[in-house]
Amino acid sequence: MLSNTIGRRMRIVWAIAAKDILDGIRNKVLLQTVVTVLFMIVFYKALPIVTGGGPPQVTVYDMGNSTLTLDLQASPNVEARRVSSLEDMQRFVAMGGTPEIGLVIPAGFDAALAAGERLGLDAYVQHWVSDSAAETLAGRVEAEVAALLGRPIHLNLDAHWVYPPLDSIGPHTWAAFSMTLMLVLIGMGLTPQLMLEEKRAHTLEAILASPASSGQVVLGKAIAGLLYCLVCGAVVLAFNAGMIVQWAFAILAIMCGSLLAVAVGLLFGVSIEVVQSLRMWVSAVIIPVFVLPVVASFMAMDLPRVVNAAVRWFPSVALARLFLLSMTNQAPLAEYGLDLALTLGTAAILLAVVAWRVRRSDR
Amino acid sequence: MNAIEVRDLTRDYNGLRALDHIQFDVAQGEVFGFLGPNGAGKTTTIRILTGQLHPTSGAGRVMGCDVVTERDPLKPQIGVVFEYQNVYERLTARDNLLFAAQLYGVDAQRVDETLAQLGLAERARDRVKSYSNGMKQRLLIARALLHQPKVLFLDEPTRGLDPNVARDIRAFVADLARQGVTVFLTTHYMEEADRLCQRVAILDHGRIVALGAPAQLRAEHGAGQDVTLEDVFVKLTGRQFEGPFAE
Repeated sequence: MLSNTIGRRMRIVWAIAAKDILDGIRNKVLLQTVVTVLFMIVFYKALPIVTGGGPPQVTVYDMGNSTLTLDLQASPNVEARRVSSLEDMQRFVAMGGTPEIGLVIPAGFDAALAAGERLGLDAYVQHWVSDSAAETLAGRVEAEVAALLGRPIHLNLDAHWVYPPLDSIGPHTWAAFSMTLMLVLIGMGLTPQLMLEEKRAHTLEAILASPASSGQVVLGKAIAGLLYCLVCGAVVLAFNAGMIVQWAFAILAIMCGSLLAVAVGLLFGVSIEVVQSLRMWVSAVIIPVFVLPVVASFMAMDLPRVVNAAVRWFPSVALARLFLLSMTNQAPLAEYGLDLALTLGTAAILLAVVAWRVRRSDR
Repeated sequence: MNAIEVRDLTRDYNGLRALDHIQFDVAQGEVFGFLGPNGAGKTTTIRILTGQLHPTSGAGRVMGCDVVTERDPLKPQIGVVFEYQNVYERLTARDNLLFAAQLYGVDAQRVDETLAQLGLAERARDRVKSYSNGMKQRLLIARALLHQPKVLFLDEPTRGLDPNVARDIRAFVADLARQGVTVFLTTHYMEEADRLCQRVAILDHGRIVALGAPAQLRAEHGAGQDVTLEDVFVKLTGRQFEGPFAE
């Protein structure tokens, strides 16, 4: 009896979700939203390719005071900068939006050069650079160094991948930002649309006159919205595949973010009656709640301490940090536990508010 | 058991009384007309009786099910044709009905039967947005009848339709009643109500101002042989206007 009832309810929920998925594929407004968001991601990914093309950037950690450093800085064929520690070199390289080389010149390099010893230098490159691109880049720098020294030299790239530190800014932060924004835009743009279309066309009344309850309608919409978010999330993850270090965290972040975005979208969907109001509310909420806090937290902006502390508690910041954690090799449990709790907790609270509003909608 | 029983039903919207202690019964197999000017409370009554809206007070039962506390057993027994053509225009007629079939747990074979019954089989796989108003209305009726309900609520089913389609729909409704389906009909066409309904209720400002067979109402409120139901309706619900249209 109980299993029959559950089975019947699940059948209704799935029917609503499946109808929305089928109808959504033919809905120009929904497709336009998805295409716009994906275009933004592609544009962001293509930007470095369009703007790149200059001489290779080389960050040099010179443990002695080699003349090679000065020669590299003077060379028009590379863009070299000198840093004072291995950590700084790795941090600078990690911040690069295009492939860069980090070079370690050991103490006594000039003496070894004068003694005619066989020479080699440790080189570092961002972890997301492909093997072939890294070899090409190393080859260009190797040729320039050899020309400056007047003899052949080998750059050793073996396993010298640079992973971004959690507190650094670079392509990983912007990837995390764009993934957060994309999920929020899809969730807040599409999910309420599913509700508003039903309200506008009065088809919601037909569903509610059938054995479907308002709770099942919301659950069906949530599943359809989640599916759209997850599909778009998978596409965005594929675009950023090279940046991801910890795939389990990335997938977890996509799932949590989709749930959060759909919960926000459903709240809009049950609270708003017309599309024009939806646009106004999405614009009013997305900048102060989703964009500014994330940018502020990443940029470590010079904000009052209390504001910085408050920003940390925004679910959007927590979600962006989950994405960020998936792009580093430093993700201890304590680092993401709070972010996970904030993201899922907010989604749960919002879904509870939606359920409460829906239960009261017939009064 | 009556198909519909309404007792002291009242509904307020933000302090405004939309329904004011209405009560009536509808027998099984009866075609019952629920008439009234715009805003009189007809659609609110349908929304309450179909389990979409809570009454502020009072009670309603449809096929023995309380409309507030027994919605689960109520809904499979009712079909609703709304005042709007609320179908999914981007989907085909068949997909619209398949969706409804899934909600009601009806098999796909019944979908095809219903499409054929309403004369939509040939264009069942066309998107609904290419349909005429008349075809959309037939699709709405098909959706309402898909699960073979015992009570059918029709909210202005012939509004805006050409006379041929309207006549077909009226014939179809009469046929349903002959098969034992109870029909709760709202309409602005008094002639339609006169022809189809065994009894009508006239609603004004949320109150039932007349209830009975059309002939009985004509006799009670008219003053001659040529009195129509429309005359009775205007007499009971008419407003005194000032200005160019005032009589």
